[in-house]
Amino acid sequence: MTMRKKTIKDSDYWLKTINAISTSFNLASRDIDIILRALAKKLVKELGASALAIWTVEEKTHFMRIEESVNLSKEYIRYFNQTDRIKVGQSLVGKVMSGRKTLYALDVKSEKVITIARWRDMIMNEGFKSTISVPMFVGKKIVGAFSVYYKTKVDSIDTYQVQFIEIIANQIAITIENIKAYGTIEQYGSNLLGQVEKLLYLQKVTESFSLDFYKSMGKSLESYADYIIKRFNASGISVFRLEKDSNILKLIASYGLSKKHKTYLEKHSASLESGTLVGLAFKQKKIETSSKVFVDERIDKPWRTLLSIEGKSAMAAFPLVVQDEKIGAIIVYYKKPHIFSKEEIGTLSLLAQYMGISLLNIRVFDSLRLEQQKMVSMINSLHEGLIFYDLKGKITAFNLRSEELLWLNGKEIIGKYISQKTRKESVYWENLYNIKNLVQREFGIKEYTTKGPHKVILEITYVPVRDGYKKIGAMHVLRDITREKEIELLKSKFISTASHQMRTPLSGMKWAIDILRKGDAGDLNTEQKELTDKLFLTTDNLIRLINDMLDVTRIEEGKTGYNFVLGDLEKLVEKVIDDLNMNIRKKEIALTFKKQKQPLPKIAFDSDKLDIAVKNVIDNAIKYTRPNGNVAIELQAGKNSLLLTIKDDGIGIPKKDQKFIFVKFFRAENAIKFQTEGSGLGLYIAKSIMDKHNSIITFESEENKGAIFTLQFPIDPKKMLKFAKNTEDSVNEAT
Amino acid sequence: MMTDKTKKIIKLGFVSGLSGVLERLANNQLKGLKLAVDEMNQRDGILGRQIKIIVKDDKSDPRLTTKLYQESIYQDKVDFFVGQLSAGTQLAANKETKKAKKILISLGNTNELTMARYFSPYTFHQAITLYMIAQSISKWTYQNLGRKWFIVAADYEWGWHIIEGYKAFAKRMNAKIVGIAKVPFPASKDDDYTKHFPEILKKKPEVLIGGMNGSDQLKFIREVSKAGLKRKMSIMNSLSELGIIEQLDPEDAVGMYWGASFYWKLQDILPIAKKFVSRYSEKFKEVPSAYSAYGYSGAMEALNVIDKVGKYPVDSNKVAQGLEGRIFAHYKHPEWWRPCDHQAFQDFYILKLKGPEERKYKDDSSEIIGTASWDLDIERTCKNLGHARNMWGHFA
Repeated sequence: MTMRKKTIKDSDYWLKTINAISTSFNLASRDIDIILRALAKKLVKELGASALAIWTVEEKTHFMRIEESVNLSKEYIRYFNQTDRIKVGQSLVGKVMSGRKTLYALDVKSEKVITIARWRDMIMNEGFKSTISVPMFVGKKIVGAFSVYYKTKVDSIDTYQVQFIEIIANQIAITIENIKAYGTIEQYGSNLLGQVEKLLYLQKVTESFSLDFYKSMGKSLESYADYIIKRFNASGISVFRLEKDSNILKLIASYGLSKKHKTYLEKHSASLESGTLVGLAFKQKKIETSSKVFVDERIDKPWRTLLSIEGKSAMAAFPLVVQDEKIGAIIVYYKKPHIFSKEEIGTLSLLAQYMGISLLNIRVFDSLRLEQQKMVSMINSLHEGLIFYDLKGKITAFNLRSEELLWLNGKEIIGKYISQKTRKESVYWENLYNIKNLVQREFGIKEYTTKGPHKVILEITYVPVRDGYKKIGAMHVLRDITREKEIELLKSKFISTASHQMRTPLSGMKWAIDILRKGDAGDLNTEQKELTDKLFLTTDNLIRLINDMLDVTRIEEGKTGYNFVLGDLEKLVEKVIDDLNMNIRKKEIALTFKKQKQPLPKIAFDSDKLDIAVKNVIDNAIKYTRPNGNVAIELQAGKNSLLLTIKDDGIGIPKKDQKFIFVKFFRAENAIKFQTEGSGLGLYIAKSIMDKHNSIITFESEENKGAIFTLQFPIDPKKMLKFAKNTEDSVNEAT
Repeated sequence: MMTDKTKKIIKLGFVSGLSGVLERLANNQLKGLKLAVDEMNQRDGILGRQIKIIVKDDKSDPRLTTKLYQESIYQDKVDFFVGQLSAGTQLAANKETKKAKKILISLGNTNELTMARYFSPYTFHQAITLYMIAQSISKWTYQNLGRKWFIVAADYEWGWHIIEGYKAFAKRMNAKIVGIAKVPFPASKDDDYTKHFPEILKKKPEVLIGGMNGSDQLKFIREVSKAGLKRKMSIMNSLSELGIIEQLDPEDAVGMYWGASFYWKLQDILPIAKKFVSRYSEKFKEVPSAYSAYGYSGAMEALNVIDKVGKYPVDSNKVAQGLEGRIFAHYKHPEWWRPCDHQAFQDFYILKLKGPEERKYKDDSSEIIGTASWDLDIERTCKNLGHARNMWGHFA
């Protein structure tokens, strides 16, 4: 065959043909195979070609390969692609690429341009007589070669035809590049969508992490592992936590590991010193990967062996770092040797970070739980009952002792609000209600006797609970004082009984002695008179002591009800002075009573009780003042109170004894020496009575210089009223 | 001092088929071994002793092997052994060293040596097994040449084991073996191969795999080339050696593939290979073969670990313990002694034979075209080999 002999005049024809053929290069087709087939039909028509081939070059090996073809046999393609591979520079096509110019063999059988006989044979065996190969350029870059094969021998080929094929080749090259670019863009788009999808899934996984981690670490790890396994073809995961005390990485969870493997890791917790991969990652705070663990010296021999037994060939170890603190590590295992992609490392690092945060949260949570447990144990082991309330009054804690004292189950109480409704549930709930509703000031103490078959006397302290300066709740501290009360009661009863029993015979004795000493029963000599006088005095002191003790008992038992009435304190003081007149005169004490000219405000008091209190203080001043000494009493109105001061220049109170002066039965050392008789109850009784009047008794003293006692009574009607009301409550409660 | 030093020696026994059919391969082993010993002796030997090689030729006859080992152990007082080539002589050597509790690093390709029924806790198999060869070839062929295979193999243990290996892979990976032809060993008739060609052509495999060696392999390649089969399909030779390749006409050889545990051009991509090839070439004025590399690596391993254990007489238990699970790389990518069967897990290389126009100098016969990087699937499992009780090794 002779190729159509077009002359220069025919250049228009070729241009039109190129134009026509160019329509084949429709980007929309995006399939080089379709383009080639469409092209082949036209080229066969225009050039009489039998087959076409596009050759490209493998980057790594530089071997050429037939990338696409039309009408070439499988064997032909296989031969050049897989058997007798040709590198750039060899044979006709290789020289086209290296020389960057078109070459042709119009007679395959004889053309020297085909240098290798076996390649010539291959072409001939395929039935081709002529062939032309042109370089494919994109810009100045060679991207391959385009070969046209003819089964009918071509006698000659002109410039136009060559140019025509070259233009077609370049169009193919550009089309291929476009297709590749399109493919890249499409791939990029698809990757982008894939990444978004992955990120969304990752978000889900991490969410499940934070939500479920506290409930079940294993469960959380499962979703994590599922993700890793699906995404990266992993086969297992281990999570290690740093044990600070022992400085080892302890296995705390695993997925996809056999029992044997887990046991091994548990027993051989990764020491930070021994150079295990996980230890290394932890120590260096960076990701460590091992594509083939069996040949990785960083992993110790026994573990390598175990990994081979378990069929784990690769691993990646990630440190778990939160806020620059290393808290653990994680290993991801792979069944097959594995090349780690950047994306994989990135994703796994991200997950490791999430896991680190979750682990840290667990640690904080555990530590808080431990503290809470400690606190609960401490509260439960307390001898006092504790009831905690939040600001809304809900019970937030109820310790074991409270359960015992109030016969209630903490589990049923905690979380409840105590109301009229709950009060009705039982007498025990009623007790709780009553305690909750006690009127108390902060740190105020009240007594409460429980109702029901198990009577307990409780001393209840109301304590505010604060977080810094902010009040966050309150608490009732319940102290069982039943036993103390019983002892006190028994003691009082004993004293009361004993005193009553003694007072009658003593009164009888006093009467008899009085008869004797007065000589009503016959004259006494001087010595006898002295003795009976002493006896009388002693008996009188004894009776006074017993009276004091009875007073104390009555006061302490609360038997003595208080009757507060607004009255004039001045009159009471005058009466007391009058009552003590005999003693004053006896000791030749100069006693003065200074009062204000203007009338003093009235105050609420129980005259009988306050009489005792004031008398005890003034009597003391007289008693412990030397004969001819001075006692000055003054009553005046202060800003908020009435002040009664009793000043003497007597023996005073030694400094060391001052703190005990209001203690029952206490007598200062110098007082005992100065005045052998005395019960040590006078000031105790005075203080007790003053307390009941919401009043204060204080003193100042210096040994051998005297003492000043001040009794301070509130004059604010509100305080008095409140005082009076509270006192009644107390009396009621005590009875 | 010099006198004392020369007096103190440690004896390395080398027994192999130095004459006979495997002469060339065995001599290559010995050269590799000599290079290793020279290197170590230049570094003052091991344990303060110079290493002396006691060489014996068993002519690849197992009965002679037994005799020579007994002689070496009981008369020559050899301390440890590195050697052997054929399967039969390896088993014979293994039996004797097991009895005498001597370390043996075995250098021949065999499937049996690592099986529990033949196993010696003192033997380590440096050479790749036939099963591993088949897995390596299969893996690369499957990925690069096609999944439809026809196998032609020598009809004796060597060929049978190769066939078993390919079958195992095909089953696991769903490759298709369209036919198997077993050819008498040795192939003596003219048509031993050609008579199978019509069937091969009829079955239209993508790859024709050869499982034979020595002169049989030469015959197979020549016949295949002559019949033009390589135009119709890819031809893969499971295992070959430089000595065989050199005998081929490049025109016959061109375009065919072969597998090797080592090829000297590995030096172009791996520094450790470059070091080995350059020292070997300098000493022997030729490039090393795969068996040279085995000889070198086997000797190096034994010497290094014996030295590390630091005891003389050699404590075989301690040395074996040191070798189990050890990672080593003396001439190619890192290898690993699997603890249960003492097999050296190793990479295998796929080469393409060059045409005459591509060969620039002597020995430039092939090009490394692929690496079958090893994984656990490359060899039979410990359980399959009967080592279920010794998964952690025999001295763990």
